[in-house]
Amino acid sequence: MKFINELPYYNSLMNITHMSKAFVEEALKRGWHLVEAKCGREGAQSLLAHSLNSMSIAYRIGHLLKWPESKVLVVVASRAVHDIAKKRWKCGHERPPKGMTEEEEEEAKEILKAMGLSGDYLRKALALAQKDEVSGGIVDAIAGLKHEAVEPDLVDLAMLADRLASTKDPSETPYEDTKRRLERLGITVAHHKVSVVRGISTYLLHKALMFLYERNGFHPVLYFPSGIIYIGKGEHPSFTKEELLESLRDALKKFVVSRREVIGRAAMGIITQKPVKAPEYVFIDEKTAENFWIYAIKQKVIRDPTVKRSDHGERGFGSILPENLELGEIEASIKFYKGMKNLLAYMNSLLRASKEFGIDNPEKIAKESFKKIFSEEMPESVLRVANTTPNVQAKEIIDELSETIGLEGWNLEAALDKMKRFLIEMTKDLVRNLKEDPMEGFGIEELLDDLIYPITNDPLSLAEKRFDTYKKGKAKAGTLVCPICGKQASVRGVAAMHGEGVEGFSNLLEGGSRVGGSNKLNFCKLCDLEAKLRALIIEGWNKGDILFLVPMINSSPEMRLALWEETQMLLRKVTGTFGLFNERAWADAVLGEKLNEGVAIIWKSIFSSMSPNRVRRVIRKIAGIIENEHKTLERAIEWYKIDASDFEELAYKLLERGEIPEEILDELEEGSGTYLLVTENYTILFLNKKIAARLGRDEESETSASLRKLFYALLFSRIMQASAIYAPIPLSVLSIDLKPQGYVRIPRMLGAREALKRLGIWDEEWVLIPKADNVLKRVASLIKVHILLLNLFGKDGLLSIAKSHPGKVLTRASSTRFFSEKISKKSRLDLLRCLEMYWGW
Amino acid sequence: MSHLVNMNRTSPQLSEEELKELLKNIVNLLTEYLISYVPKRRVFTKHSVMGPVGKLISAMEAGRFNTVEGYVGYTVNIHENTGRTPPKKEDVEKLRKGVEMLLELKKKIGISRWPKIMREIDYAVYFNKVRWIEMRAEEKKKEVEEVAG
Repeated sequence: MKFINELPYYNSLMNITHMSKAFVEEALKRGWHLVEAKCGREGAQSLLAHSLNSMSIAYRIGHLLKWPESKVLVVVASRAVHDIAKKRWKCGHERPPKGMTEEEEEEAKEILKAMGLSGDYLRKALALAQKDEVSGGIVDAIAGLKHEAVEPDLVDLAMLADRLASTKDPSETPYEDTKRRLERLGITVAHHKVSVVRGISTYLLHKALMFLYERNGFHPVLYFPSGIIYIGKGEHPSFTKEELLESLRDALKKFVVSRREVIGRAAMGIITQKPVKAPEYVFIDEKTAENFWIYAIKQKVIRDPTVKRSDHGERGFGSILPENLELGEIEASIKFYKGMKNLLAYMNSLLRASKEFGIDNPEKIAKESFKKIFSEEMPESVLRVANTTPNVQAKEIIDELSETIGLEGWNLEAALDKMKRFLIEMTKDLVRNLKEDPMEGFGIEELLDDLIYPITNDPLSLAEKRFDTYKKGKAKAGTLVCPICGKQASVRGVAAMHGEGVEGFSNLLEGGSRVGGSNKLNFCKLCDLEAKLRALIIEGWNKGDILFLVPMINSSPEMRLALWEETQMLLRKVTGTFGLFNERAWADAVLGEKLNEGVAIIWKSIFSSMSPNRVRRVIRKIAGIIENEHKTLERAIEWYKIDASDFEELAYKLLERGEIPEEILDELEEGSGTYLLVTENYTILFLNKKIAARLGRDEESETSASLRKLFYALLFSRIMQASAIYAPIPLSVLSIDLKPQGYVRIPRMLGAREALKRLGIWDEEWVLIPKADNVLKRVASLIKVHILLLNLFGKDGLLSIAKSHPGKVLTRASSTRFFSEKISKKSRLDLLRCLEMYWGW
Repeated sequence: MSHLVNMNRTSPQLSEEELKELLKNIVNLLTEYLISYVPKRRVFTKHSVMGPVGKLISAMEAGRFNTVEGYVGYTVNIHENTGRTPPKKEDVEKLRKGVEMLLELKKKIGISRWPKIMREIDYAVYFNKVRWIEMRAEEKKKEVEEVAG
């Protein structure tokens, strides 16, 4: 048998990534992203995704078996076209066809040629593609006969790859034929699975387990939101609870330390609720302790507190100031006292929190640090200041403190500079005296309870414990449960941390007493941990929408990244410049059929859809960053190798070409309010506000916004080949029973029934794979109509347009002056086309 | 046990698919007729755009006449009075066909559904006519540009 690398045309560059890229290009051209290879309640996969998964798994196993690359690549190539017959398959109505027709065979040949195969190897790959796991009908058998025989080990690898790629759940039992093939090839399949998919914390658990499996020679081949399937040689690996905990602790520490710059923001709470909402972050190490105070002192509530009318009232600082002060002096002194009081409240809150980490007498440490910095004794009363301390008392304490450390006048800035040194030193001293690892404060041990397999607790003792509880009967007061995941709750909810609604009514609250105060929702330690981790990612995550994207190409994150790296870069560019949520630009790209034409074309389309004012704003921002970075134009021109007469022209040229360098993107992204967390198992899009149209202060209704959300979910799932699901509330967990049946789980609102019926998706739970492009285009048309008629139909216009007959929309529009005066002739034609497309004529 | 009132469920005379097809044909016929109508006073209001067909739909909704001729005569009369030119024979034929189909439809459809269907036809014909006007304007503009350029 000859292999590809023995042939003269074999190019060393023809590796798996190149083959896959060539395949994706061909598959997209042929619409394979809209063909179902797997469907039904157990989960769906597009033909493009399934073929890629099979290819990747075949490659991984071939590598593990140390087969020559050329031999592996024949199997890999065969997997690209093995299910080509599914193009004519009516999913759910008939048995999947296996044998290829003559036309399909021709098409398969074309694809294999595009992937770089020819001669004997193309024939072998084609023959292998026609072999099936089990013998099919007579027609398939005859179709298979005309192809040459293939070595049994190649068939084993090819079939195994297909079987694994068809797996819907990590704990699925392998078929008998798969077991035999595994035995013949000498491979063991292992897996891990969790019971709850929380987001970042579950990702860390996956990472910890992956590390342990890899250390034992088992490599991941398939990633699911709830687990991973591994392949290796020899016995199924086993680990102790301690090993797992150590690995988990490492993963958590790495993650937290990688976000060190934002620790201050993540730890700081709201002064009226919980001033230090995540003290664990402050005590990680001395650097994080310093970062906390650097951030805290920059906050308006400390550095520049607002002077309100109430500050001049009976209980305000204004009423206890010395007389004969001028207006400016009054304002400055109120600011001084308010800022200092808030600062001391934060300090005391941190001291109290440090007791949770085994520090018995934090006050003593604070006093020692004070003496070290100011060489004076700290006034005892300073340790009593809290947000609720009456202002009269607070003023006396602050005056005493000012005298001790030698502050003159009401210069808040100078006072903060002095106090900063002490506070940083005090917190560093606290860190040095910690008796418990702050990571323990997160309760990561409980995260191991989420594991279904491998289990870390002794099953016998677990059963005994349960039996004991049963014997004792129910506790009188009942057990508080977490409203998110149902575990035992032990952490009282804080709006700043867990999101709005912790004081809203719930059946889980104590009955017969007012909601509020201590009667709030309680959360389990793990949901609390998840909230704290998310605070590291993006500010205000608990106020916005969260979109889970489960990749259809779940066999190799490297391959996924290689194939969709440019797409992710495009998303970053759009996020940093014009904003990711830009309906006009995306709708134009969808309606102009640019999605399959590569990122350069999509960028061009987005750029041309932007209004000149918006482009100008972005240019100014980029020009500012370049000027800051390079100081002179000459240096910037030399660096970017683009000729320009000023910074703005340079910025324009970079923006137009879509060549925005990473360092500029990093700066641009900072204030974007969007974060894309890409993990092996899933991708999560965090937003700090809801996806909704806004008109002035009014926000679109949830029903109307559900159509907008459908548009974005379809768009992102389509361009990233993933299944998209919105979290119902920000902290929601992802169901492990989730089996994506298409591209998007439809955000279902009763009020949107007419619109969803019109789109043909009301009776379905998911936007099925074959319908995706059609629905996306129709929703894009709807969005375009709403943009054109926003002034006429208002913020909820999307829904009313969606429910109305196009003629009705047109009647309303044309009866106003707005239509004839503000909408150009070209836009009017666009409007008519879009209305027609949405309605499905 | 005998019931005081016996209710027999009768299956609809038209399936949803058939209804859709029939409506499409009616809308096409009425649009084609309406394209031949050019109002004396050119205004871009719905009344002006819909001309005699708007009146026809209102009359039909109210069940003003009983025969095809009644409706056709009524519509043609309005066409002659408000249009620049009287309708051509072939256009009247299209109108007659449309009216026939509409009366046929009325027999097959429940009375409660009738106003909704008439509204749908009204909006659909209006939409088609406006689209035709806009497209025509675009074509003319291109022609002028070509001649000038």
